[in-house]
Amino acid sequence: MGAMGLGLAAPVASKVAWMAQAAPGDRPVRLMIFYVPHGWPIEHVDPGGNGDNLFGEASVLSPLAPYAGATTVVRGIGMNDGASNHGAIRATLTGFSEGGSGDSIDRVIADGLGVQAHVLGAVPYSAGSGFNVDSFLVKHGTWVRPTESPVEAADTLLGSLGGGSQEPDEVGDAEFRRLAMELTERELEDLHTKVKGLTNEENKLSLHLEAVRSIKAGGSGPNLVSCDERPVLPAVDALGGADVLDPANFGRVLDAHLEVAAASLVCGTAQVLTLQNMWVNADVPFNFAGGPGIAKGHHDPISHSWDAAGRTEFATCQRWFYERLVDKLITTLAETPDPSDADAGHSVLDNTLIYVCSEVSDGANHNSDASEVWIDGQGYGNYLPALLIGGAGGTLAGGEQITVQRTNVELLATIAAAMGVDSVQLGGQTPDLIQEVLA
Amino acid sequence: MKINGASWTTAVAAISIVALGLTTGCYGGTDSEAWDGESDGPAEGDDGDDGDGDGDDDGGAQARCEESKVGPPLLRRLTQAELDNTVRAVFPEIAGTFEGVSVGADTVSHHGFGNDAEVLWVAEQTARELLETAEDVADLVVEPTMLGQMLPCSTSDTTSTCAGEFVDTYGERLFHRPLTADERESYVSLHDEVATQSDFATGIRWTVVALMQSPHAVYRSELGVDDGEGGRTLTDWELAAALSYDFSGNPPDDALMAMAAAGDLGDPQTRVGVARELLATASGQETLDAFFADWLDYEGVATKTRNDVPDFEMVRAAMIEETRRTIASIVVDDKGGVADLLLSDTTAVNGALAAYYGFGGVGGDFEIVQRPENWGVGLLGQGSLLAANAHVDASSPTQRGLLVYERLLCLPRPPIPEDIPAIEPPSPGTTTTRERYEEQHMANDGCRACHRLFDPIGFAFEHFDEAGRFRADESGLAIDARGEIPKGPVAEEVAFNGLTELSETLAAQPEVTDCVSGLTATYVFGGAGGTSCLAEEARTSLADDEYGLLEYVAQLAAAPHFATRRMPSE
Repeated sequence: MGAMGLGLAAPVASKVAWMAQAAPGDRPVRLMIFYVPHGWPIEHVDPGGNGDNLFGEASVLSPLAPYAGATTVVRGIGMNDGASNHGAIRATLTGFSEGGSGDSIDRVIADGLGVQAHVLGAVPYSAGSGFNVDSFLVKHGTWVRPTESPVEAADTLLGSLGGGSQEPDEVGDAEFRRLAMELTERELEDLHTKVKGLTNEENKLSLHLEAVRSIKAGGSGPNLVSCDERPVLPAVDALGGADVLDPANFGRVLDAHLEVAAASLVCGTAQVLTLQNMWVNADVPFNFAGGPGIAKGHHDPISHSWDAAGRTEFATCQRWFYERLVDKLITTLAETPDPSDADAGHSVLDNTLIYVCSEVSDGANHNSDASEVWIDGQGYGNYLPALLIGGAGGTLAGGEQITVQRTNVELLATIAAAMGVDSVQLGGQTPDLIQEVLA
Repeated sequence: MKINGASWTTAVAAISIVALGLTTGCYGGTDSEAWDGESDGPAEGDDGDDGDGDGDDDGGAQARCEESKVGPPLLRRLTQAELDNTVRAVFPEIAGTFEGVSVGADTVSHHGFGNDAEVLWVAEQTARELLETAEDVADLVVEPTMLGQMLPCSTSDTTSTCAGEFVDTYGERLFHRPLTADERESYVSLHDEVATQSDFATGIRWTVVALMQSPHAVYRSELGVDDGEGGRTLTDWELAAALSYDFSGNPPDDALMAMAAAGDLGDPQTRVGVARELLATASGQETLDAFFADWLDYEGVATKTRNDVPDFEMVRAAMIEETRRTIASIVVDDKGGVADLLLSDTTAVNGALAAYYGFGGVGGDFEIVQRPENWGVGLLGQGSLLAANAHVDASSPTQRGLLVYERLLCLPRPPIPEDIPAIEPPSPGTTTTRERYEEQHMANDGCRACHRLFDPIGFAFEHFDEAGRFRADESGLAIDARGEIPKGPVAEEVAFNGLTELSETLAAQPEVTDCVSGLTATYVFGGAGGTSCLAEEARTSLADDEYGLLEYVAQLAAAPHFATRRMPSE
């Protein structure tokens, strides 16, 4: 989807709002986090072990080849705080085991930018077992259940542009809704006072109050809004009323979510967005429509395979995620001049940072550190999947690969710095930055 | 191989904290040495604190104490099901056209429970869903004929008086108590402000929205009032809501509200009587069903696939229904206890399931049947649990052992260390599953440190394949289903051969009944802020076979925690 289908406003009235807030020289940077579960088979990613052929035809990352110049693979990242294995999903974006004492990085960055952090999920939990510890990736005071339905996501993120499944408001509804929200807000404030001394209940009501205030304010994110109508969303429209938690619909749901994400980033209705793919040990069979056609569970047995055939299948599955990311999101961002940037030469991708991450390094080896994994008698230096895609407004050093010996919490803090949010506190600490990553 | 001048080995040392067997929470020594799995390391998702704010750890759901404890005051957000039930009960006139709440799946606690107040919070997505639900309900309420039916005065009186009548009636139902004068005034004022700019019905519409998304409707209060002695006593209104939601998932009806108004609910035995009545209703059965589904996660089989068993996907839903009906038969119809759940020789199958299992002799609909001899007994013989705790292509002694270890013995799963390879793939006809696990898990000291605690329990399930069916042999190879539970998890090491003997062994262990009674109380009390030892008298009676699980649940209404609380610092 290029700019033609995006309903871009001309002139871009709200660009003025962003430019008024931004310091001279600042660019309107967006963050997109893309979580892919259970690591990768490193010999299919970095076959030479030296990062020389990361985007070659045989690589899991080959779909990114057209954008290799805009992609950096950060080699050598290991999980912080001893978080490992399946439990590491809770440290992936927080930097600490069980989420530590703070929020995940998307929320930290969103707060720093004064915008809202949105979370989408393509089959982010099992319909049978529910939203449980195996799915806890994003933490905003509490673990955040991603928006499962792309239709609902489109309504939330793009509803202000009209269209979609929401019925138009009656005259006066916005004002009446605000009055109702004000009453709820007052009740929450009173109840918050009543539970003083009960720390957990105070925190519970604080989060609720914050949510109500955000809704009342109409969301705090769209600083950049630059579309005057809802973009065309064919994958979302095609999804219709399909069961979004049915693993058989995973491919369609992911495509639709990526479409919503791309439109929202372009239009500026979302500035910080996370897309969670499945959960840590998802046995989603990968023979769904539009998928790689492997009729086996992603986690077991595909990702757990040690034999060559199985690891090739795992590579095929993980490559598919990058194919979808490129087809449905990166291409759109790259082909669309950023309507919120005064410099017409900058695409949305130039002003976006896409962080691709996982909770383990090698699926079969089940490690979450940077260490050696032995395949057919050969050792491969393995590390957590950590890709930075896009120009991030010129804040990244670039280069197809950077090799370090650092932890994910330091990379998270570095991503925050690239987004213009400095000296972030994660888990009560101020992690060192990975300077090699920054421009 | 170098990274910035350092070797990968150096990188490993810099980043990894792996120390197999020492960081796992499992003892790495010999079997004869002390077991320390209970004291080391929290369960996955457990922060090691009981969550009651006092920083201690009450010892887990299986812990027993001389006296019952009480937890902290709580606000319990209604679950998805409770919200749906509430809409239909509060606004019965629209129940037929209401399409359901927009609120999504409830977050599941580390116990696997979807009703835990510690994780049921309202972040922005939930707040939006609550608003959407409220607006959906409001739209139905103010449809012209409906509003006249629900609020007869509205056909002739469009003043604050009629709006106040609406607020009184529906506010009390949603808040589970009469509104205070200030609250009433706030809602009537909201109505009037909107109506002034539009019309009476629109004023009611936004009054409904505000009432429904009010924290007094979204949460049920278990905050209580100061008892003058440093504790908190729940009000009768709070007790009415607790009884009704805990034992039927519904808001209190008029009769229960009348008991609250009369101050009748302070008496523990009165509450137990109410609980019994509520549990006997269809809603009460659904509440029990929800507990057992969360406790055992047998519905997890719904998303499992078995490529080599074509019929499996056709019977997954029936397996879930089998387990639900079997438990209901034992617990409700037969008034059974924990041992009965483990040892029942019956199950509920329909024709398709009977054919799938090879039972035969059953027609179309579900019926309770006798299991074939030696084809398993009780809960652990349920196809849903057997298949949900298995790999896609083979059984899993580890997963099945952990099912017993965590859900029946209430022991915390040790943290998984790094660099643990997946189990080798099966070799049908060449190597049995047991042999693979013994070779990979039990012959390696690092793996054995933890796996010796649960794999030998899982070996007892080996006569059941990954799709939940009995098998006399494994692809022609003889099955060895001997197993044991080492000393530590239970008082003395116990050995068994096969699933029936394992079930008999577990039924005789007091730790199992303590685990089940502790988890049941934790569930009914919405997590109780992480406090354990909530109903010691009733737990003892259950352990002594004075009554079964159904009555045990009802007796929780008499537990001190049901009516009183303590502040976290006390």
